[in-house]
Amino acid sequence: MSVGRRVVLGGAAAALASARLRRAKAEAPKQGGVLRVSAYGDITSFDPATGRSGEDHVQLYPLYDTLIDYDFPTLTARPRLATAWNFVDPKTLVLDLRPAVLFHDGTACDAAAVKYNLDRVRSYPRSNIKADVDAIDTVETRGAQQVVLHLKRPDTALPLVLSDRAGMMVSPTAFEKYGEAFDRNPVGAGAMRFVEWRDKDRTVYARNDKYWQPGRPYLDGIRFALISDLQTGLRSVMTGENDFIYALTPQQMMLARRARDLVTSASPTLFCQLLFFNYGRGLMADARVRQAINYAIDRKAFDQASALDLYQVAEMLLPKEHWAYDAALAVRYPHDPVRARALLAEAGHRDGITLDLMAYNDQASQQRAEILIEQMKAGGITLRMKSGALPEITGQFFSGKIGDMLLAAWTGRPDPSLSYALMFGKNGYFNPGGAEMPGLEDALAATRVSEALDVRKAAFATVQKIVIDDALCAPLLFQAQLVAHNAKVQGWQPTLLGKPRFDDVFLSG
Amino acid sequence: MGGAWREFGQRAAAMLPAALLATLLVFALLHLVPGDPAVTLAGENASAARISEIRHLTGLDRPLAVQYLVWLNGVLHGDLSRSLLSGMPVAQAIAEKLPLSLFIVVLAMAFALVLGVPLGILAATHPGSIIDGVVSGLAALGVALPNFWLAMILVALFAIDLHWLPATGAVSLRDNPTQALRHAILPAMALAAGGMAEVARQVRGALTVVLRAPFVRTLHAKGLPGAAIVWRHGMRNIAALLLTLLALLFNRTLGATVVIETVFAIPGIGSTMVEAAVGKDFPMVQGVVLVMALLVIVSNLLVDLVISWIDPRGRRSVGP
Amino acid sequence: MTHEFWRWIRHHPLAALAILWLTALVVLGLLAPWLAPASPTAQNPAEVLLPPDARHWLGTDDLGRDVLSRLIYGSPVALAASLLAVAVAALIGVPLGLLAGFAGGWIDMLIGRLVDAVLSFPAIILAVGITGALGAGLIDGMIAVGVVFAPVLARLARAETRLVRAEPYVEAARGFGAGTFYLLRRHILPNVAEPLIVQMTLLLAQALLAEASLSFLGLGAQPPAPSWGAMLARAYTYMEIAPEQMYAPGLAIVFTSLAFNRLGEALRAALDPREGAGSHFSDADPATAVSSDRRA
Repeated sequence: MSVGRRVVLGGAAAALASARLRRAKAEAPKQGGVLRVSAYGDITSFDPATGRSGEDHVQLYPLYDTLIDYDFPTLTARPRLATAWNFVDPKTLVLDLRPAVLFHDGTACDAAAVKYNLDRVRSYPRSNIKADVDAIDTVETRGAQQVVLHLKRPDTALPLVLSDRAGMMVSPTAFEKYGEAFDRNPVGAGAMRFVEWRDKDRTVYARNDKYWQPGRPYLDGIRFALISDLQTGLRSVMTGENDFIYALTPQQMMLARRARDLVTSASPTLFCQLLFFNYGRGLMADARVRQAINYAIDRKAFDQASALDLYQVAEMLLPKEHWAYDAALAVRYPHDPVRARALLAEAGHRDGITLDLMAYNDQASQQRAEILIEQMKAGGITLRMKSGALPEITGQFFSGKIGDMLLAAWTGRPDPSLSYALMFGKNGYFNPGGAEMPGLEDALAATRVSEALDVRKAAFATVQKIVIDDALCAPLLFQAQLVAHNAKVQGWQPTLLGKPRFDDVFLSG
Repeated sequence: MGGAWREFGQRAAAMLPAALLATLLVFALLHLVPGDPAVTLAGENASAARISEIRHLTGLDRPLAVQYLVWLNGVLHGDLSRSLLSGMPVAQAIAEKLPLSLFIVVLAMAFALVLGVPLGILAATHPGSIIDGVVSGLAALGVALPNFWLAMILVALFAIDLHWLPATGAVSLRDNPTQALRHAILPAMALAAGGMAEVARQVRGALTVVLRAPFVRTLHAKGLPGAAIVWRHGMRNIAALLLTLLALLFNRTLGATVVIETVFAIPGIGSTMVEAAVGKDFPMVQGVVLVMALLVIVSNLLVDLVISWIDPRGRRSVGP
Repeated sequence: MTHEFWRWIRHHPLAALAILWLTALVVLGLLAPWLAPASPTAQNPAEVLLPPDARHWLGTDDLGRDVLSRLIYGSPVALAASLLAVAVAALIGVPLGLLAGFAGGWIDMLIGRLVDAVLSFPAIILAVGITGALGAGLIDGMIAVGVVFAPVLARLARAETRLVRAEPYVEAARGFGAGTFYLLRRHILPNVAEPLIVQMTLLLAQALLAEASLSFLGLGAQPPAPSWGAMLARAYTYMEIAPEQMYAPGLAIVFTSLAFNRLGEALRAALDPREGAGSHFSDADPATAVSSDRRA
């Protein structure tokens, strides 16, 4: 089954358009069946507090319901285990809990359990998410269905924080029993319960018959085949070994589209490919150099060459669909190599400069780096590339401050303030520059003061303006969530966060 | 025979330090590699504070010598510790992944022998003929092919085009023998090419020498049919060679599984080792290296044992 | 003279072909900027993954670069990488082997243990470790490969040294008070040089394959410098869309590897015409460094 290349590649945009129209006939949800998903590798930990990768969520969501949920297309907050929440004052957040929710082991998910969880993520030594809930001072229970969070400072990012790891409720009984081994023995209150995990092979879930949503889940179980090679994964779906695969590359998407019995879906996400700048040192400390880099990049061509036009050009760190997107900042840096050279000359580098680019050694990253290296030549920037394995390069760039730029990606956070704090906050680990840009800390704090979306949006606009005007990084593309599945799989809804959720999925026929 | 076992035991005991030395070398080597597993463990929400906290929690901030000795102490008590990154007991991980790789290796060795020995015999019994030329050519090709390239070609042909065999993954023998075999055939074939070439070449070479010896001509003159000569006298003399070859084949194929496992996305011991090394998962790497070093050593020793049993005089000269 | 030259070619056609191929690679490599039809790094998004045609004799790759040009520019990389790896192996292994074979006793045992430890080491881990420590990249990867191959040369050097050292004339020279260094230089080295050179030539083929494997795993050459192994790695990710991408670099590797092997075999036959092929273990592959050596 070899595919005609030109047809495959030339028809990218057209195929995309036609595929959006091609939907399986809508059916009424049916009970039964096990969904077999090709997952992008092992989970780092089943304990939401100790995990460390954005790729984990797809396997965490079925097991753990969160206190608060997010609206799939826009990422605004909506109820889940908490039916309502309210900032009675900027430093007090009251959560009303849904009654009669049970964990998989029968323990009640009540106020006491929620308090246990919120205390745990702050005090458990192995917790990786302490920073997310740092604003919480104490947690108080009022009866069995209400929890009050007393904060050290205003933090209106908390509701959305509670839609992520910090809000994933684990059973206190189970955690007391397993301790560290909870990493491998999860017990939550989600639609699925854990059956087994065979490293690098599969994880298996079975239906939670005590789930609080009536009639849900539709599926009898989910099996994640852990296939870290996407080609292998796609093949497994094409041959029927698996039903569903996500996070496809654009090239694979083309293949999937040509397969007659596969349904494909492309949807925007927060997942941003970008160049991190080490703006604290050397040539990068000059804003003009950083701006020149931004001008030298042709994002549209980058999209075409590396993503077959399937991704969205990124002018800032949030995509068009997000509630905090600011159109005023769009196209701050159009492709302009002449302008780039002029800026470099202004900064004293009339003959161009040489910079060190760090990149990961997987083929996709290498390809992207090769494209950027060529593009930057026209702007007077020569790139020396240093690539290596992900753990090594990440450590070297962020801890060791080695290299001028890192070609990487940001998986996005449920609340934008988390992203900006981690990437540009003074103490943010992913802020290699380490410098404090004037006004940024205040602007960041301002995003967490009010609950009103329009106020927050304006605050984010200030933050983004500082980041983009000073060219503290070079956003490149927003990846699309590229998914392929067979026709049996119905009810799939993509999310802007880009981490797949199988809440409404059912198997037909 | 008892003496042989005792000698085996003594030599095995002497080899153990070599295996442990290998783990020490790995430990030292990996520490030369920049990269901090604590950074990996801190993950997406990393912060400098969190990273030092993790270093302390996992004992990564202790002096290197202490870290190694603690691990060594564990090993001597039968505990291979846990993966730094996944928490899984190293012994369990090895027990799950090693059989997958071994199955492929053994299958590959079987292919190599089943194809290589007859080819070598053919070439030796028809020296200078076209058959000899073809065998030599195949042997040369087998050694020159990058095995992962051969793997790619096999996948393209048998899995993608013809759909005869699965392109990906592995199935444990215990779970489903038929599927296990189907998944293992293509990887084994890719691995076998080099081995087959080596076996054919060695068999041809050694057998040629044997067949040229005077005693063979005498047997010929006495009227013994060619096949009997080859079988009874030729092969017996090269039995030791074949056994040594087996050991070498095993070692080499085991080492080569890494790249093959990458092409076929097989969660075997090779890819586990590389990922652990890249991620600085010290306990996992050291455990795997120890086990693999022991495997290599034991297989060598076994072969030596069998050879000395077959051929106690250790002669390498050729005779009836 | 020419008569003998043509006669040699007629008697050794494959060896001649091998030398021709390797020479062509060297020439192409040196004259790449003039001989290659296009720049190896010039990308053209409109001409991605084209089949061979008049303008691109081997088609284009995933970024629209001319495959033939990348192959040509990649040949000096391939040759230099192999040479570097073998040079490193020789620099480390040969002195150690000479020393072990000549000195005997506890030095021999010590070096033997060291060699054993390295040999029981999974080669790929050594490569990962060294490239990690030195930084990924072609040169560092090849140094790693050199370290992996060093034991092979050490073993061979030791075995040959012991043979020569036992010769009567060497004993006589020692009796006359000749120093170690003098003996090594004057008597031992010239005699072990031949088998060593043969083995090193054969190792060139293995080094090439090792470079390809390392690049395939992402541990080798850095883009955008073209390397045959990296081209194969890229081709693998495009295997379903454009399977023919894997043939050109793969064949280049196979032919070059074959050529190195043939050259080594020809050298062995030329330098030691008494030894028929296979009378001692063929060392086309470094892992066949014999365990029975331990008994010798």
